Amino acid sequence: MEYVDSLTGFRLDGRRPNDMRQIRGEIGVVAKADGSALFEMGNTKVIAAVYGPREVQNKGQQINNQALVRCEYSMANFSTGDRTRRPKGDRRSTEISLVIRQTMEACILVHLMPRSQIDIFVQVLQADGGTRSACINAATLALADAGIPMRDLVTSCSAGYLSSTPLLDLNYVEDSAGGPDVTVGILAKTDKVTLLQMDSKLPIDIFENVMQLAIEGCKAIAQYIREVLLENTKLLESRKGL
Amino acid sequence: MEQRLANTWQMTVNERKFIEMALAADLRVDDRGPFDYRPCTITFGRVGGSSEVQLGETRVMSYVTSQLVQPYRDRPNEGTLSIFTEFSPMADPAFEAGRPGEFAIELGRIVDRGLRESGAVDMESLCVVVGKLVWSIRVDLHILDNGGNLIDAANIAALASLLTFRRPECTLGGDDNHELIIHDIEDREPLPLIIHHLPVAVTFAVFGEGNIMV
Repeated sequence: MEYVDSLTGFRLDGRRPNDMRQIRGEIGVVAKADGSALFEMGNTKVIAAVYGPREVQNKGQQINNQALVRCEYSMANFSTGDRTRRPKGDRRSTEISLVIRQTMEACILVHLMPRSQIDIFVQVLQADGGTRSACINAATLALADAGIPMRDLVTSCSAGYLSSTPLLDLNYVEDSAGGPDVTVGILAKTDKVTLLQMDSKLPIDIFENVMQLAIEGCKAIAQYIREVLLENTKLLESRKGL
Repeated sequence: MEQRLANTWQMTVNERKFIEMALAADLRVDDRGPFDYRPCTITFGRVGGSSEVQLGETRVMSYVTSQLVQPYRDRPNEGTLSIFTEFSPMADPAFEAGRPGEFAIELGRIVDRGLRESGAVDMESLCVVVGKLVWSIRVDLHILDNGGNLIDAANIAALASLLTFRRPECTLGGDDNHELIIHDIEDREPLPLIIHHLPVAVTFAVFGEGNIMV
């Protein structure tokens, strides 16, 4: 199947190879949570809710000099094409929970909140490729909404390589093609990589190009997230009457 | 590795400082250079498909078995490969018996990604009857002793056992050529798996705010 049309250069959904899908972020979608966010990347919709810092529920897991970060990733039954009941602890969910936790732990200033717990719950409502990245972006927004001190904004984006072209932000069809899929998570301002995962194989020089493309996508998302947070702050200011 | 249990061995502040200061002078605790591996030994079992890897103090054992199953609906002409990890408390008191924890699953997924998603093991050759019967290869990784760098050792063990694994040959025969006959190893020589390339895992650790790498 031709993933990039040879005549026009368009992808299957009409994007150019360097185009990201339309992104949308909204803060404060879960009223009960300390912080929450909804993040959409094209048709992929993800909700993140953050509870914390609060008292550690399991005293055996308490760390005395820093906060405990826990993360749970789950996909709703209706999120994919066929409605299937997903077991909660299945290997893919556990791996992605671990990945999101480690990514966020790298940027949260955990030493400021010893003996406390921060819970990040991420739920995929609609899955169309790039759920991992959308989850990390949603978690960043939710953590910022909860007012948890962070070193920097963590953003994530994926890129692939099909029909000899590096493609940014793969959707489900392009992802299932079995080609390489590089997911990158960076700290936007300090320019540090916190997550790098890849499926399939790539020659090293092409890999550098694909990773660079993903990093640029991450920076664009960071720009957008910053705007969303700024708007939210202005809204809070006006409500306070400042 | 995040096992926060009472059994976890906690490093003292002295030990932590010593390691960091030594690294600043390019010295490691066991007198290795920053990019040196520990001596690695691979031993094979008598039956094909089992191997034990010893990387310094780390020991990992791998065992490969195969079974005939129905293929996945969206891949009717490909076999399946699955990796399972067992972290027993024998290896490290911080490991809990029973269900694999986060790190066990992460290790399994990393080895799985290297072998399956990179196309190292040929899946189409494992097909017997399209849409009905394929070989399902199962790799079980048992951690016997945790001396650090489990990912590299587990990867080597998985590779070694997959390379020596032999599956029984099966043919379609019988009256209407639809009956599946699995030949005994005495009758027909068992077949090896087709492995296109060998993915090798290399793990680095970064100390000192990202300045020192080992």
